[in-house]
Amino acid sequence: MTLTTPVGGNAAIDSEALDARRAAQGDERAFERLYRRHVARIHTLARRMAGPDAANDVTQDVFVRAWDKLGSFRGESAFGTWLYRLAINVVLTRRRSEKSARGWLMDDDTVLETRPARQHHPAVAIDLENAIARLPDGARQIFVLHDVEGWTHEEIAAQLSLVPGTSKSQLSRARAALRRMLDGH
Amino acid sequence: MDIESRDTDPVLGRAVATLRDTPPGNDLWPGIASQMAPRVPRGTLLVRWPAALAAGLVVAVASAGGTAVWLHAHAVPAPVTTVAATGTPAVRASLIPADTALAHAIVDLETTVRANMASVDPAARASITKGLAALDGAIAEAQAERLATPDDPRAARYLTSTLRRKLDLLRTVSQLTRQSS
Repeated sequence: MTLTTPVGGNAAIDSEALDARRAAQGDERAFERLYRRHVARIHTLARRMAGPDAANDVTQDVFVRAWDKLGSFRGESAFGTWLYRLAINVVLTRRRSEKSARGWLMDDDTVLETRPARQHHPAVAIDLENAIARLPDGARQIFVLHDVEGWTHEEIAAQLSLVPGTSKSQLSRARAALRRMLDGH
Repeated sequence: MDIESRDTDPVLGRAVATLRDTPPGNDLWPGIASQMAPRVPRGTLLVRWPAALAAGLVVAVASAGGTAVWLHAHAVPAPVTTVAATGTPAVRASLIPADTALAHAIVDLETTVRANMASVDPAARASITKGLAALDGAIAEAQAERLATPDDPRAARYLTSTLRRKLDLLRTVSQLTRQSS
């Protein structure tokens, strides 16, 4: 699994590790600095995975949970990596609480087959962010995890309690839907 | 990456490469900060300073203090100002057997509690230390009253009750310390 962190250079990582330690001891200003550093990354992930309407709620939830769980952060990985994993868990936990995995995928199948191609303003390209936002939840999450975040199907399947074949088929459908939306036909 | 991702549509792949992180439209920090619970430092007592213990401490100290005031109003000034639970030979001689047993139990338990105080939340530690000091003061006064008025049963009862209060407090703190470890 390739996990990237939005920090650059050893000095930034050292500063971030120091802030993480301070935040774990109750320093809210240190935690705010961590928030400022990572909010774009986490909000983008939340928007792509959970959809634009839920992105703010998910982002807030991620940082509140991070504050609560900082005591368990041992510094074995970068804080950004730890936070990113936490964000993924928050998104997927919300999904599991909203509907069963089976229903989530069946809904996707139906919607993906019938999702219309872009019909209006053909001269204006629909950018990929908008196209991703139009995907059904399950297909969108698998596409984001695989094609954007670099997860393997095995990792996705383990995280989503699916079989790898299901992840592959959902990705295929998501890509086809995106191509249709981007091509406008 | 696996085979599935390598055969991505080139146009789709290029589009993915252009994706950038973007911050939220508004600052979410105020909403986050309002939901952040006060931090208990790592490695400290995770059990919150219990209201019952705090209330018990207040009652114990206030009760001991109130009794001391009442005794002062009815007895001669105390000649001894500071005496530990074990006390001086003269003070130990003033203890009845039941009080002596209480004093020994206090010394044993207090040694354990003070050894574990490092793991206690600083705010709780300060409260415990303050409460124990107040009870030590009450015990010293009670012992002084006992020495000054050896025939006064009220002074005897006061000494016994203050010793018992300190033992009760130490037992409660000891239980909380064990639960957190």
